[in-house]
Amino acid sequence: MARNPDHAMLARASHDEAARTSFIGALKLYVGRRLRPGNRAFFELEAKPDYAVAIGKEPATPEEISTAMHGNPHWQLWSAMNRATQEQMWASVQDTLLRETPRLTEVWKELCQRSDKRGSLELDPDCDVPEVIRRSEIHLQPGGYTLDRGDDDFLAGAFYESGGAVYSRAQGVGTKESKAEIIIRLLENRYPGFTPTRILDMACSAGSSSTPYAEAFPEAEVHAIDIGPGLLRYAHARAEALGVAVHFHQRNVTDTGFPDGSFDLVVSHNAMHEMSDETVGAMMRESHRLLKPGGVCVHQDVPLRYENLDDYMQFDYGWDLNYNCEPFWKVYATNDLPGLMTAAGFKADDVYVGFADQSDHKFRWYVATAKKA
Amino acid sequence: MSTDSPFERPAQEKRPEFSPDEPIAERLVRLFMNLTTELAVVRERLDTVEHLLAEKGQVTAADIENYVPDGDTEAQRRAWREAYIQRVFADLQAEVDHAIAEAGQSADAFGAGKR
Repeated sequence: MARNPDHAMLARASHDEAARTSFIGALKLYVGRRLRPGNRAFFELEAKPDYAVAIGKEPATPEEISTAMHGNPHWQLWSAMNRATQEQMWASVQDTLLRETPRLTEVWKELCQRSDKRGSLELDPDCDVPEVIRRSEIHLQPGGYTLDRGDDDFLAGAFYESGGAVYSRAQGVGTKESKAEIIIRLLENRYPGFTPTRILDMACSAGSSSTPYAEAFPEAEVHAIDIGPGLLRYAHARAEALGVAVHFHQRNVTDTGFPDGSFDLVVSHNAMHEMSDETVGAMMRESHRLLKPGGVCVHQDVPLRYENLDDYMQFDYGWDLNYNCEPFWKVYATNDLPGLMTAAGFKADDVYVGFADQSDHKFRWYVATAKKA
Repeated sequence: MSTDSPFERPAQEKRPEFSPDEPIAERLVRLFMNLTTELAVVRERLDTVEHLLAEKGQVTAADIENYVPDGDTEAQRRAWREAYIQRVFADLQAEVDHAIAEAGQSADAFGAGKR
């Protein structure tokens, strides 16, 4: 199973669009890996002494470090470059997607109208969408996750998958093993013999992590929910193009509408860092309510924990919160996942919160998992 | 490459200002990054044309669109992109490397940031 499987809903870049997107990926990697470490040196050499002269004491907290760095020309230049590459990435992906939209719309209609469909799509115009998500362009994705220009608009999902592929290639993340594959391996190791029959993927976005569960557990019925209609329209067609059975629903993770005890596996992927603490808490309560006794939930996300970072790095990671539209970045990185899970009803002894390594150990994700007693 | 969208782009309306005293410099950074990118696009197209000419002795626009580089060509292109970026940003990289050495830091250690 490839991390980025080829399928009919993928846009085909022209020669120059592909060249542009590949170069921007290399540029992002360069700015992020080779130039970014310089900021910390310029902090020690310039921003810290400048701040001390101006304020009368050295910057000590992440907030004071931030004040010091905002006046530093090296940080200003690097930030302008880093922001520019993120905007370039989306502009390049957008060129391909908008040119391809007429062709992909025909493909989408054909996939959605097939008589031998494996899965389904259920949209709810009354679905509660948090205001902060509606008006944010998370990671600067054009139009944001809830872009919805009509009944055949799948652009939000197309942006999500195409942009994500550039982003993770540039980051060097996940090219070998998908997030879902890592979690499926974690299930085998942590819960030997566990074979789920009903699976729910919460906040599924373009469904890229939903389909691997249907492939790994072919006997299971797989459902997936999100609040973005454009994400779900794309996810549905993508799953059908792959020939995989997933049932997509437009529902909020805080109130999924499924009956008590109706699943034995509940998962989410890279979702918690886009949610308030209240929403994560409610998602944990729904996970507990939806699981049968003996059922398992696994919530996977980025390995960003402020408790492991010094003050400078807390400032540094704040860049995405402020300039890459990540409103819940810090909320996630400082939340109390074990506390949220026990408050949701899981027993402390049944909860594990920690890292899950990619098989080559070059990257690790963060997971919060629990078995319902 | 177009940054215009046929729909609302709140993130572009609220672009941050990193150098409030030098707004022109900041706009020039965006133009410079775009120009650097466009030269790489032209170079890759030239590379495609050279490959097609070597293989077939002639080239059409359709040939260019349908060209799929083999693994070796893709690896050469990756290496070219990295070398090109190093050339374009050489001054900046030298400053960064110098500062990291002077501050007694290590570029590899960055990112760990352990207390």
